[in-house]
Amino acid sequence: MSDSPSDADLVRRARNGDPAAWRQLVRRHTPMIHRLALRTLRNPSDAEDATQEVFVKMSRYLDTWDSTRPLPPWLGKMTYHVCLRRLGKVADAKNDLTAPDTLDLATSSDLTPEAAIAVRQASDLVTRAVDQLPAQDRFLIDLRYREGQSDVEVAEATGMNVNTVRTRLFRARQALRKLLSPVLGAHPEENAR
Amino acid sequence: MNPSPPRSLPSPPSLEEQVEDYLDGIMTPREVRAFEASLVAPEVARALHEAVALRSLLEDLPPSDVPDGLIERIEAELGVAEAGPTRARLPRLRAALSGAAWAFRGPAQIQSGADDSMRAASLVSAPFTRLMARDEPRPPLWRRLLRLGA
Repeated sequence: MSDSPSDADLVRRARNGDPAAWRQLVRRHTPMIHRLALRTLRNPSDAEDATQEVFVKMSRYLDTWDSTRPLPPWLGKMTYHVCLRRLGKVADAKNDLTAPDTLDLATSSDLTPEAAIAVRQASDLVTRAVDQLPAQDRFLIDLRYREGQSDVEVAEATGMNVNTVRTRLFRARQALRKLLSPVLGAHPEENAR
Repeated sequence: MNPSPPRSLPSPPSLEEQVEDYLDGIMTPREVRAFEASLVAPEVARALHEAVALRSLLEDLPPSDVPDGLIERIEAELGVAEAGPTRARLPRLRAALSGAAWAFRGPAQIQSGADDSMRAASLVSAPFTRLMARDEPRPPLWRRLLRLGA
């Protein structure tokens, strides 16, 4: 709806203590934050807690948001840091943030092109493939493609240099291409050529 | 007019970057022309195809649903939750009071909160309520009948 107030309007009202504005902000941005948290943490309960934590932080630091900038990257940044902190607490080798070089390709080794075509929903494969990336890369991929943020916005959200973001995205895409090669090979566009 | 010569085949990372820049629409028209000319090289065409396919797959992932109750929990945590049950009951209570007022005092006192059903209910109950509320003794039946006939 064109009548829907902008984030800047809602934040201005929220800063003045308008609960209705807060509720609109929560309803508008919870899906994105929860998606990112779920993809990064891979645990529904942790993702819910992280989502809640992001909004608590948001309420605390709302005055620091520059209203001339879009709100989603700012929230993405908070989500990123909340997730990283939570991952840091979990002594889980699977969530190692610093070992992105080798991926476990074993689960996709059985994916012949025929088998891949037979899978009804390619999204399941994509989800599995993305899940094999390190947590930071999962976050970058989600923010960049699913949330449609630019490289610069992703860099702002993660505090990384833009070139670092591009390099990491490049590596993540390379890894995904390997994992998804059966699906990518069967892409309709290729058949159309 | 000579078209700008195709760029020499870049190393894989820069090729990938070019493909991404091309898909992001951040190339200059000249770069676009050069890149499109380079698509005759199978590696470039393949890189573009894979990038398009990968983007398509990533962007088309189904949205995950927000768990039931999460938004309400966040609102409660922030102290901005709507006072659900109290507010939900309030209009009904207001309507009931309004209907009662109408029954006792007449339509002039009706409140905007009373809905049609409440008005109808109070319309039916009003005469009985009035009769029951009288202090003076009821007139005999024949007098009441005469009054009705007049």
